[in-house]
Parts: sequence; C-alpha cells; structure tokens
Amino acid sequence: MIGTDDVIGWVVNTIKQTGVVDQVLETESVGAAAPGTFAAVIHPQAMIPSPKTSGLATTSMVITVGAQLTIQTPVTPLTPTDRRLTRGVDKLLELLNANIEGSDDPLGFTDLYGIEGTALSAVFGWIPGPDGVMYRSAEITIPVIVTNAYSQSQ
Amino acid sequence: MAKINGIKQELVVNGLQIGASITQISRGSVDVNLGENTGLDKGALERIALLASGGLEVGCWFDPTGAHLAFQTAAVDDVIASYLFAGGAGNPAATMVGAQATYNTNRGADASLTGTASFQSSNGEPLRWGKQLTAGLEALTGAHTTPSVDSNAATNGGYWVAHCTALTGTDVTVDLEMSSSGGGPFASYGGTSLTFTGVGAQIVEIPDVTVMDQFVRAAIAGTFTNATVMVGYAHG
Repeated sequence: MIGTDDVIGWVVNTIKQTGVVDQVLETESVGAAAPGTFAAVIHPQAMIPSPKTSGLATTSMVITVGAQLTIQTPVTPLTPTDRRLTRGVDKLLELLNANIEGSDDPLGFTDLYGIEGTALSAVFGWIPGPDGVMYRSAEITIPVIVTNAYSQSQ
Repeated sequence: MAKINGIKQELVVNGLQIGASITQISRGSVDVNLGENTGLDKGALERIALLASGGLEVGCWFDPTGAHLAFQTAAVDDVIASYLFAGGAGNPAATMVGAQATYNTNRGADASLTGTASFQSSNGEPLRWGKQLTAGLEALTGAHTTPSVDSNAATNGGYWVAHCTALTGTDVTVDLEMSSSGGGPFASYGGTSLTFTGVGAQIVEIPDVTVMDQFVRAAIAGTFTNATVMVGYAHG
C-alpha cells in the first residue's frame, strides 16, 4: 500500500486552502453539489509506474488525480466567465506547486512539467448538468509522483 | 537459475545501501585490453589478452540521504562497490574496488534532478562477478550462518567481500567457511576474517595458493542487537 489516501487527502485540503471553493466532494455526480455553489469534485484518474524515479529495487508511482471545479449555475456560451472559476484554478495551481508531506517526508511531489508525461494542467470548458443545462467547469489534472512506493520482489 | 530481469537489485557502496536512488546501471564492465601479435604466416589478426580493467557507471535520482551521500565526496579513497541481483543467497553479485571518476548532476528543464557517477577499478583487479552468500542485505538480530552456496568447483584463490550497512552494538565478525560437500562439515577457510565496528565494507583477496572447496558459506557473529550485512564470494 502506498499513500493514495495521503495524496487524495492532500488534494482535497489544498483545494479547501484556496478559500474560493465552497464544497469539495469525492463523488462522480455533477448534481451532488448545491445549486449556485462553486464545487470541486475529486476523482482518481490513473496509477502508473515512474521509471525515471524508481530505484533498483523500488517502484515509484505516478498517481494522477482529477479535480473538476464547477460553478453550479447554468450558463450559455455567451455568459461571461465567472471569475471565481479562474481565480480558484489560479490559486489551486499556485498551491499545488509543492512537495507532499507524508509520513515519509516528503511522500512525493507534483509532477509539474510532466517528467513522466502528464503535467499539472487545467482545461476550461462546459459540462452538462443533470437537467440538460450547461455549467462552466475546469478540469485540473494533478500528477503526483510517490517515490519508492513499492518494494520489488522476485 | 533461469533468465531474469533487472527487478529487485541493489547497489552497496562502502556500506551505504543506495539502490533506492539508483535509477540505472548504465555500465558494469569487465574490459580486457587486447594486443595484436599476428604472425607473418597468418591471414587474420591474432590477439592476446593484456591488462584487464573494470568500470561501473550508474544513473541516480538526486537523494541527499542515498546516492548523493555516497558520491558527493568523490574519489579521495578507493571504494568497494557491490552490485547485487535479486537478493537471494547464491544469486549473482559483482564487486569492484574502484576510484570514483565522475559525479555529475543535472537539473532538467522538466524539474527532474538526476545524476551520474562512474568508477574505474583501481586495485589491480577488474569488476568481478561472484555469488551472494547472504540473501542480499540481511538484517540480523544475532549470530547467523548462511546457507551453503555452490561455487561449481574447488578452485585456487578468489575474493570475498562484506558490507555492513547498519549496526547497533559493538561489532560484527564475519568468517568464510568452506566444505567439499554441500552438507558439510564446514570449517573456516583459514584466512583473514572481517570485523566491523560500524558501517563499512571490506574485501579480502584470497591468495592463489589457497585451495577453496566447492561449497562456501558465511558465519556471522559478534556483539550486536541489529546488524545488516551482505557477504559475497567469487572463486579464482
């Protein structure tokens, strides 16, 4: 077992530290957040090995967490962008430029530039709500390299 | 042993276990210089083996408590480096006494922080392959005798090496024992035994006049509550 709970917990806490997001949910449901709120939904995306940081007998892992930041207010393409969204993403990216402090200090670090192929990034767009309306949203991809996550055996 | 891959390996340098920060062994070489001594009556080159050498080149991820600790004070004294395979008694191990030639670090544009280090053999012997008598680095809480390892045949000479990567206590002593039978009886090979009072590595060259039996093992004792030790052997 590696620190997946630590990584996801760190992402959740970091989003809360932005001070902009109203709710942080670990659910896949877009409609789970209250109408009008600025909500973040966390979902793990991938766990892949990191050859570049693995040792001779240890495997480092890239844990990629997705964070979907959505303002739960219906919009159209002509609706001006709610600045809470850009400010939230801006602040979140600032806070994610960090090492992760775990029981093994540090547990790992954000793969900012994509050493293993996936960089820290944000993509803006719309997502459909449960009733067919569109919400403004940003998808944040957060790759975290957990060093020496597994000991190898043979 | 069947074909194996590079999973679960280890590198120990002067008693420092640094495999977790070593990302690749880019060269573990036994180099034999060849001289040409072609006779006039030959239609193709004849060659003869001259002086041998050995080399070890590794890549690492920067780790202040790992590879960096081992490599940062480069090249003043020779180092004893052992490259272990899969941590099982009888599995291959290569050992070299070498002078450190390089330690280069690189901060990449992608924020990767890597390094390379290289060593050249320096004691008149190349990098030499042998077998592990311990199962890689073994964490011990008391006296321990390793399983018998078959060196394939009785031979003259060779070397044996030990690394102590951790010690809580006064000392660890290691002796090499041998027997003509895998089931024993075993007795000390009669040469130098090794004593550690802290982290470190020692290697013993076994003279060619010493006949080594086919089966060998390590006898580890001393006054300690915890000791982590690796012992390797290669026949001549």
